[in-house]
Amino acid sequence: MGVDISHDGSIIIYETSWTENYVEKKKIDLDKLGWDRRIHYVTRQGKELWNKKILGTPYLSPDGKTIAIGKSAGEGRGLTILDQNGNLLWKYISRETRNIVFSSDSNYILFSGEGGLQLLDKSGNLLWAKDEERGAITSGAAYIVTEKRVYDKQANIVTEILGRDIIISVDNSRAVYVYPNKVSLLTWPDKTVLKEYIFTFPGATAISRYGHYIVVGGKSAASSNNLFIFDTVTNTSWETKIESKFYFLLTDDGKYLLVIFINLNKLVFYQIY
Amino acid sequence: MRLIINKLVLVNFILMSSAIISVGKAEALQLRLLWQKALPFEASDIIMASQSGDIILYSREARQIILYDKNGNKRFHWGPRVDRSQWE
Repeated sequence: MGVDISHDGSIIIYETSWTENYVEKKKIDLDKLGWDRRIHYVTRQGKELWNKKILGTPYLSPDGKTIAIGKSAGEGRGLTILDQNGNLLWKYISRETRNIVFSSDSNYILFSGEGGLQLLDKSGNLLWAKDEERGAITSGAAYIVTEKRVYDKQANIVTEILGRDIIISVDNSRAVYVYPNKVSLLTWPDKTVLKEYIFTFPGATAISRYGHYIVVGGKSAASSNNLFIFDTVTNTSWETKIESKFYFLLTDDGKYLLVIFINLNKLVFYQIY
Repeated sequence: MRLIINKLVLVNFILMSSAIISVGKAEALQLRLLWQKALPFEASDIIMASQSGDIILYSREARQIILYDKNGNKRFHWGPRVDRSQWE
């Protein structure tokens, strides 16, 4: 990732690796030389608070106060963690660092490397490692959803994925199971099914913070539309047809939906109410 | 485009044919179209701040970053054509 933004939008980091020589001659690979790569830490008003020459890919914690830089080769490889002033907090040596994610409360970091999928606390202590490639992490690292299973913070297996996708709400109280033919809303972690929505091909799915709204991009036998939004509290829905490659992003509160039309290079922004 | 997994929103491409959005069927749940716009450059990353709804477009190749707020207003724009010093 070359750019990231805090959850409240107040802080942005981005990466640059260009110089006048690169701009003018277009042939000099300064990334390989490695001396002109910077990360910039700026406010949403455009004020740059600091920038730093550093090799690696930057990630911003959701609260905007911590920067994780992953580097997979050469000197300084591993995870480098900076504070909001750009000062080094700690380093975690690893031959590779991939798929870096912060928990939504900013207190935990998940990444994959030579030791598999690894969970660190914000002080750099290794809590556990598993033979997995990538995962999503809920607030407080209460749950880690990988491609194979769901773990809790103590590395216990909560459930196997078994051919379905599992998405856990930010508050850890609800989960969505995406099966090949339906989307189910469940209480979490006791897994009581609350709602089921039938699809012939459910694709991208998102859930709002408390499970109030579920958004599904996919196909349904009962409709020619392909973008569905369900209000799980009032049992109402809204749907539309998007005749383009698309994907979407939902805010945590379920109030705003960004639809990105890939082929048309177009953004459409909705308010849900 | 990349798979965004860190905000617990699994985003996959959905393959459909090409055209444009049609009118939605409305029930009690309502959606209001706030804004739509063409991408000013081919973005390698599109990220939405999960609480504020601010949207970042980023292109390493085009050396551009744009931030739109949830009302569609451009809050800032970095790039060599805007302020070259930001990039050197």
